[in-house]
Amino acid sequence: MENNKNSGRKGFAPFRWLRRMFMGGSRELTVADERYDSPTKLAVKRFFRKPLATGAVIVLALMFAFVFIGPIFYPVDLSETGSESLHKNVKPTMSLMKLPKSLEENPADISSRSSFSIGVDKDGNTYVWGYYYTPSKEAVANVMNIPDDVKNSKIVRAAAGSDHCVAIDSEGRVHAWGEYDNGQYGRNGSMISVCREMPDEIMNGTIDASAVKQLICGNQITAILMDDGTVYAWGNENLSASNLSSVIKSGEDEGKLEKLAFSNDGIYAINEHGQFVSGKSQKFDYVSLFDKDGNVVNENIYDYIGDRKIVDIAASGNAIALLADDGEIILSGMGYVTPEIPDGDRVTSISAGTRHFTALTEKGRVYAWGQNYRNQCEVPNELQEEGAVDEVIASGFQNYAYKDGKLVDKWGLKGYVMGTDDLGRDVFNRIMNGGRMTMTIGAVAVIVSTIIGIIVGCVSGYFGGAIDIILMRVTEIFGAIPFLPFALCLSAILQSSDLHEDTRIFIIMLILGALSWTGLAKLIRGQILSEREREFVTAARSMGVKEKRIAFKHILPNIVSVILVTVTLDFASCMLTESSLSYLGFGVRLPRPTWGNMLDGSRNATVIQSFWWRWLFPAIFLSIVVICINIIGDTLRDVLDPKSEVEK
Amino acid sequence: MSAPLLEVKNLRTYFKTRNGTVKAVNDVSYSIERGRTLGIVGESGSGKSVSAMSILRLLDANGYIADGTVTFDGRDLATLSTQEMYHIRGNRISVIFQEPMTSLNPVFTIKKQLSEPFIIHQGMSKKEAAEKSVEMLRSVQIPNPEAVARQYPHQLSGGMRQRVMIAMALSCKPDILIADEPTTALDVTVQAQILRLMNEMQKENGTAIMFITHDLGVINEMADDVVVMYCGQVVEQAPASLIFADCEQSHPYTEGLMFSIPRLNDDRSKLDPIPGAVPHPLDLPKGCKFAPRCKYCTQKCIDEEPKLEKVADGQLVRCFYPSKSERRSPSHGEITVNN
Repeated sequence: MENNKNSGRKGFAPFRWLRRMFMGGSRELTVADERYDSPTKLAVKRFFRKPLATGAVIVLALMFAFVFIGPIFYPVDLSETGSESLHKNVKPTMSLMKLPKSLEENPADISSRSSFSIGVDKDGNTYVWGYYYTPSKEAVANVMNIPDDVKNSKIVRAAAGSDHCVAIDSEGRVHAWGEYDNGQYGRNGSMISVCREMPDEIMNGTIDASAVKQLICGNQITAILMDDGTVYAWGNENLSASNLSSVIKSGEDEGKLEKLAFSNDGIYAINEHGQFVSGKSQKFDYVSLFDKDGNVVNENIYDYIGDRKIVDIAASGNAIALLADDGEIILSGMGYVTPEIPDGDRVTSISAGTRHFTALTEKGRVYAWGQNYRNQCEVPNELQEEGAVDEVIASGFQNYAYKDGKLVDKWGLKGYVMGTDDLGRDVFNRIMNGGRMTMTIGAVAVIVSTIIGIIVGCVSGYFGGAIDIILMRVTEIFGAIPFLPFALCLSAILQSSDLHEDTRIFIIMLILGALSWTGLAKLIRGQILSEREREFVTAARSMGVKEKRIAFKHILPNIVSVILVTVTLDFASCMLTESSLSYLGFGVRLPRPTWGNMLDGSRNATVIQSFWWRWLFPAIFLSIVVICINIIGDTLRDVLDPKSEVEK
Repeated sequence: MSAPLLEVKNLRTYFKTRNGTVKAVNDVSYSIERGRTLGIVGESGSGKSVSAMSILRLLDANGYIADGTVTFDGRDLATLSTQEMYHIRGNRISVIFQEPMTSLNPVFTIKKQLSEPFIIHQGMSKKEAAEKSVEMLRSVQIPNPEAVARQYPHQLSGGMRQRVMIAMALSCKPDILIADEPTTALDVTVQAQILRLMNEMQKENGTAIMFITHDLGVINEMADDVVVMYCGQVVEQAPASLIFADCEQSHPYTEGLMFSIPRLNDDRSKLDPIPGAVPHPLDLPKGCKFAPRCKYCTQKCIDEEPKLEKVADGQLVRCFYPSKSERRSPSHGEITVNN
């Protein structure tokens, strides 16, 4: 049999492969062969002769691999980093880091903060890429629409805020577009000023474009730092303006400002004396250090700096990094540990994205740390070698590395295959992890219900009499409980108690199982009633086999096929029940994902209309799995019932 | 003469049904000697299988032994505990059933099923039992026993399966083998092989066989003693040699059975079947149970029930007119009431 593996090959390759895998040997299948096969082997052969069922098995196997193996590599992040407020409702795209071609070759300035990026090439052309969603109907409110006068000007600097863009052209005119209703820019002639120099000159006149040292945009706020230390700044007063003015004022007192950095809550700077200027904000007044015993102790950042000079500053959303002149990176506001720089090398500049930092060393090596949830810190290997780059810009969720003024590499967030939800969580990741939850709940519920069903069914069917009557009445009582309302009540009670979420989920599994065994129990009882009248049972009894052994060892294997079919179909229905419960908000609660509660958002009309990826993908996955399971169940029924088998 | 191996005495097995109590076995007595074969003959529903099942207490839930004793090896099986019965069944007394097609569990291999008695009764390990089961298959003359042991029942022919059943029944070398119509479902050539095999096994092990059938030809071949049953009663009991030799006295039912056997040397154009059918067990006639179908029936037969009486050496007949010549005479014809 094994010898003719290479001859007589027939059929579609994956099926042949599966056949070999399950049956060993790729000999041709004939009806004659079946006479010598065990019932199980025979059923498997018949099963895989059906293309639809084979396809369903393959798809389901892939799904299983996806939801059970995938989370090992991409675990769900339920903490703050899992959601990204700047990436709410991003549609499925992989183009967040896809630079226009001319920019790739000839970049002058690239900036990003949320899901879109702006770039300027050396010819002064402006490009915006990525994704931005605005409910506003106005064209200018969408940052993706570059205004005509920007297109027609030679732009030298551009920066992207959370929802607006600012560009400076060579003649010193400042352009702004994007959302404006929070004072991002003076659309209606009300450019908010909290700066030393009135921004009227920006509104109505020009600035010296060649003297612009830094243009940065924060969250609804913009600042321009001139060579002489002048800061033009405007934006949403409520968010960070108070600190903005205090920074600018203290910069005035202590020396001109050299570099600005925006975090979520305000602006920070270093001045010409190498001092850290934090204004009125006390958020980053402390650095967290480990003492000898590994405990965290907070130390005042100014004491910690001492008389060292700060040469570089970078701010992510809620952390700040300062580079001291001895090469030490001083971090405040984040628990991440700075990378270890090998001896003989030192950090020369630091740069910050929205959630991470990068550092460039004297020898041209690149290091990154911070949140890596969106691959921001996956520095390509070749950039960790000496002299690879001479400038690194971390921007938003991407990083761009330059060498000799040319873009040599980039890494970071490419996009979201399946978009993000209302809290900026990756739908793909949640589908993967949610699928695991949904399938686990389905599987555990089915195991519970199968165990109860088999025991009740066997006992009731084999022993009969009063036991049968009592058990069947109990079964009917359980069967009569209206499933959904009861499950809702139970999980509502559980919700009000202060159980741990894991315990609660486990109880939900048990509830599902404990409520869905009745059908199986009745089926098994009926099967046993018919099986126990068969001769082989009498034969077994006449051999002196004990009753319990007959019921569980002789009769049960005969009805395994029926159980198998029912259990398979029950698995699908348990998954659906879990999904409905979670959809209604009574099953697994957010932020823990399941396919059911991922559909939760689709109760909202806006979501259905505008954010189709939020409900379509979980729905597709759930449907595919349920359909596959049902196909498999139905095919199992066909192949296990010899009467229904019609040979082709 | 020593005590018989198994003695059934005044056995009454009743079944409770919705419409009343069915007296399936009504005052039946017979005995089996060691190493001999007892044939039990009768139509369907005559209580022959039930009496055999009563011995092993393998009755359906609504059946019970109402009266009588089943003495096996000095112990009354009717009063043994369930645990003790487990030890008797398959070990001391085993059964071969009518349907080899369904008596084997379709989801287990032959080896697994054959191993079970060894594991249960002799406490063998699985491996020992498997070896032993191949040995058993060889002893019942199954070709290529190693391969057959790995097969499933549906892969075997009827004759093979019945051999497997015999192997299983004989695996613990029982004292008594109850063969409940073991050849009915087989074709004639296979039937002969199986019978020969059973005879051989009997000689080898000294097993007593209780052979239940409705086939008198088979009884002729196999049995030493014959019990003819009708409506839950023994109507005739005699050595086989006597019954099949055209003896002087017999029960009209036995006579009818004999007439309904087709014979090669027969010049009759039609068989003479016994007219009518077995009466419903809940509606038995008052007098002789066979009276409605008996062509020699008299008013006495209808009113009174005859007793099982000794008519010759070793022969018991339950009839008022056991003599063939007497009941065939014209004078008897005057008092018959049927026809």
